[in-house]
Amino acid sequence: MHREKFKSFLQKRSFLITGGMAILAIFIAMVVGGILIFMIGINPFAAYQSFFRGIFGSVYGFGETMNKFTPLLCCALSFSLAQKSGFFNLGSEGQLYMGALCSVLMASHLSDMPAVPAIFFSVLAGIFGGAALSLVAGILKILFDANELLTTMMLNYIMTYIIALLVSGAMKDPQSAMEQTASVPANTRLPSVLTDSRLHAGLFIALAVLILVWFLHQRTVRGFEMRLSGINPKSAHYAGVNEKRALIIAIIVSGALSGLGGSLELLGNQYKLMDGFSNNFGFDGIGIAVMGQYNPIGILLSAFLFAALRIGTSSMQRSMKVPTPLLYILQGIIIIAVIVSNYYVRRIKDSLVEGRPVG
Amino acid sequence: MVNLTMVALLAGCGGNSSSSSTTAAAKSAASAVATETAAASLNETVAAAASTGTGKVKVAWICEGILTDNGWNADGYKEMQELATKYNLDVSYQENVGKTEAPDVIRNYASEGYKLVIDNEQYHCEIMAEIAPEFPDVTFACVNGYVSADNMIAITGDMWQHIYLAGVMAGKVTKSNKLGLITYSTDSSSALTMLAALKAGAQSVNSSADVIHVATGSFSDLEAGKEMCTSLIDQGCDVIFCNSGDCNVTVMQTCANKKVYSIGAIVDHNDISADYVLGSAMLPPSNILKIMISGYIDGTLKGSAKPIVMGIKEGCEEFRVNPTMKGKLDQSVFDALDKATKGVEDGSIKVELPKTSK
Repeated sequence: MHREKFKSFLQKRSFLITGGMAILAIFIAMVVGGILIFMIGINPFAAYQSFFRGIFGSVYGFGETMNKFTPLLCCALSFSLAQKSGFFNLGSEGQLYMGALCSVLMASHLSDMPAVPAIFFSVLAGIFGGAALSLVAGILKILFDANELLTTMMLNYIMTYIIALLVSGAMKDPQSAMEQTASVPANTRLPSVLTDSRLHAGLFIALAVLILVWFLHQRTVRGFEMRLSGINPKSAHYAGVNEKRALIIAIIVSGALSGLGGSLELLGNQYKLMDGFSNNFGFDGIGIAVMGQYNPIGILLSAFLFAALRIGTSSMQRSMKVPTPLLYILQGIIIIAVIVSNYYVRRIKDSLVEGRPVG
Repeated sequence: MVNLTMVALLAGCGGNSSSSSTTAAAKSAASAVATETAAASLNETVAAAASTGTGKVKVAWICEGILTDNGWNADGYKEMQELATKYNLDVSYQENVGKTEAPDVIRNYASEGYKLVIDNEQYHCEIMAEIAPEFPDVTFACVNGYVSADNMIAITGDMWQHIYLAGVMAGKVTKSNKLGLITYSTDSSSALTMLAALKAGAQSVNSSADVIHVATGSFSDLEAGKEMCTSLIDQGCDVIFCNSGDCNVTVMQTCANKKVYSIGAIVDHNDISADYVLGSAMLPPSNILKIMISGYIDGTLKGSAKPIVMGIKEGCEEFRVNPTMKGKLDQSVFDALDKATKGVEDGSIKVELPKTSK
């Protein structure tokens, strides 16, 4: 009786299973990581204390975590939306760079404009930039059936090296010895939204976009067409869906999301474009989308986990001198554990469904 | 009283004679350019730490590469460990901090109560100078920094004196009159300075000597270093100077294997080969860190918007001949070196350096 009640409770609140298993997986991974930390002579409890202190211990640390969260969220949404529409967009990194490039080009010409429109147009430029680059891969797929796994990946390299050329040449700041552009004008920078931190307004833009993308994908006809085309393009075609149009829309929106991530990172955090600007936001976005099971809430939480890992492990190195390689191992173990936990989540959910009375 | 006692004890911590002379040189150099600043000095921070009973001053040290690079970072790391013991500092280290991570790392340290944040990577000085005003009660410092801020200490080698001397030795030794220079890039101000200094030094003793300049594009791509070295040797270079991070040792080993002379950079690499390493043109971060921390502890160094430039005379740079060469090379080589060293120290030798902003 109690067992049936409990099963019924879980069936209606499956997010508890997903969340609970993820937390358990992270805990187990941290125990494993703690053993490794202990083996090199560092107190693991103190190490984890500094880990959490780095993320939550100060307003400043929390702000930095959320600043990392913003571009990760955008890139994860980008991959997720494309994947559910049948397009494996591995080009998030390059599209992020393109977004940042277009934003810096636009912003550099808007120094005399009031802040609100200046920011608006600078962000818009980034969105268009990312969308345009993604569209290149889309056109290659539509016209030549080119495998997007390769084309988007190659476009990453092309874009990365274009940036390297530009920041060391035509766009290099003449006042600096470093290979970077000049800083964007102050009126184009996203304002800080939390006192005693550098948390910028890009976070709210990204969250608003998350809701918008969910709405587009789940509540509109176009979104339905994208999903249907992603599941089975032939069936979509026979159902009267223009699957190529649906695919192109998905590709453009996907690229736009990565471009937005690049734009927000540039205008809110770094203010200048340089070689190595991204720090793997695009590639991590893929992992976040997979870990979050392409679900908006899952992506939100996974993006936060990734951002927290970056900040927390950095704090561990600063405070407890945990070596960098061990920190990367710890990050990897945690991510793998969460991904593996998804398997057990599915099994638990399946067993709950099997147990559900018919009729 | 406790504060003064702590300061006196730390200032009185003995060192060997070379660090005493270095400190003395730093005092005279620093006093000429240091300006007043509103930033809290480490002196006051030492006092504050003592009064709270912690006894240790929190210092952060950042480097771009790895601690085991056998060069710039390894030298800085080793020195910081010694200085930490000597001055009872609580030092936190962070390696692999690239230019995109540096702003976050620097800010994180400054916001976590570290009173002195040191960056071992010269190109981060621009980043640090931008961040410094956000944390006026923290002192920032950059090794070999060329840009500074009011609450920042940037001490830089002049980047040419020790390389000029390397050029003198190379110019005397070369038979092919072709010298090779390998750097990270070919158009940065520091690369162009090294080229100008090496060429000037070589041509001061050998008017036919010329320098072929190539770039690796990386501080850590060892294969690139090897390829550049091989390419220079194929072009006839018989003395090669490499200053490109982790590539330095690989290049010198390649030269030794191919029986070509090389000159070490940054730290003492004379032990790499007794037969084919002529010497080392040293600008070790350890020298600058000693000057920085000792000068700041005893109050002679404060933040200044103007970088402090030091050379051989101040103990920042050095050209160290490989002792094994004494019996192998003609005495005229060493005589030329001695003469050039005197000229560099007394200022009678000047090199026309490239006109760049940095």
